[in-house]
Amino acid sequence: MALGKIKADTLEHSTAGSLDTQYVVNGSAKFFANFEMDSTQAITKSLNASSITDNGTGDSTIAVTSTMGDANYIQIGNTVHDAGSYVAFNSFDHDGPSTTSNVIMNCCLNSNGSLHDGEHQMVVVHGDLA
Amino acid sequence: MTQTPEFQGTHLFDRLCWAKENLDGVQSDYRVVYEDSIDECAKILVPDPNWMACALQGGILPPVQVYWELAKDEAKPDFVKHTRGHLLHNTEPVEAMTEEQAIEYLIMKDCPQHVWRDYDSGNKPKMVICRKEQLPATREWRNAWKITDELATDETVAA
Repeated sequence: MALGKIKADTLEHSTAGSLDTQYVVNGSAKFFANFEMDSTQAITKSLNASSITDNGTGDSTIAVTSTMGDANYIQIGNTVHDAGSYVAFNSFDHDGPSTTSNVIMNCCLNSNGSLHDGEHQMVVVHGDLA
Repeated sequence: MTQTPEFQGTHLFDRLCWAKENLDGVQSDYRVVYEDSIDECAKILVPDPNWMACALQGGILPPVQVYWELAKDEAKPDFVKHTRGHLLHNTEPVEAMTEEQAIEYLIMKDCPQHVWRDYDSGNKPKMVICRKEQLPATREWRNAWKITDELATDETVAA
């Protein structure tokens, strides 16, 4: 950061042991977004996102500002269980996978796998930045 | 107004973390409706509030041309990982933008180039910038939405 820098390869606790700072750097989320899918889509909370694109029912793309280093990052998503109404899950499209600059989120119904506008969507990305 | 630190040479991710901590998000009313393919429904791009705050603040985001360079690299068949990420961090950041300029930047960053480079050369526009309230009020028949043939500033742009 421009406001100051501490350089260290190891953090050491008085009793609990030590930890290489590479675990902190590599293990921190590099991107997250929380957004609504069932109305005019908009991001409510995010880090490292520049926009969301509503591609159609149950299909959204969130663009990344600080590009990922490669497209083999880990994308973890979560969506809605609305008791009595529907249960949904997140997946990504085999034929249109995420890229270093776009995280693609599909929301599918548990009952038949069809794309569905789940109310809330959450996605976190772990991996290396460019 | 919060002063942006001198950020050239600082990792872009660190700048975004600074912005998230120091700037209030700006939820834009602008939407970009575009048609990527005639076989698909219209897509709707919505700016991220934290990103918009960075754009309005200035001194944080890299020039949009940097993203084009990285996209060229990724389009190569032998692409494995980015080797020119330094362009994001070392290129001089862009000055503060107006909200309208920020939308133009975002179109050139996040919409496919074949859409925005000649968005108005066909029988009807392939891309329209509108306000949120000009979109349909519900998502009924969402996968059939197209940019309406007869555009007027006071009408719904997709139906």
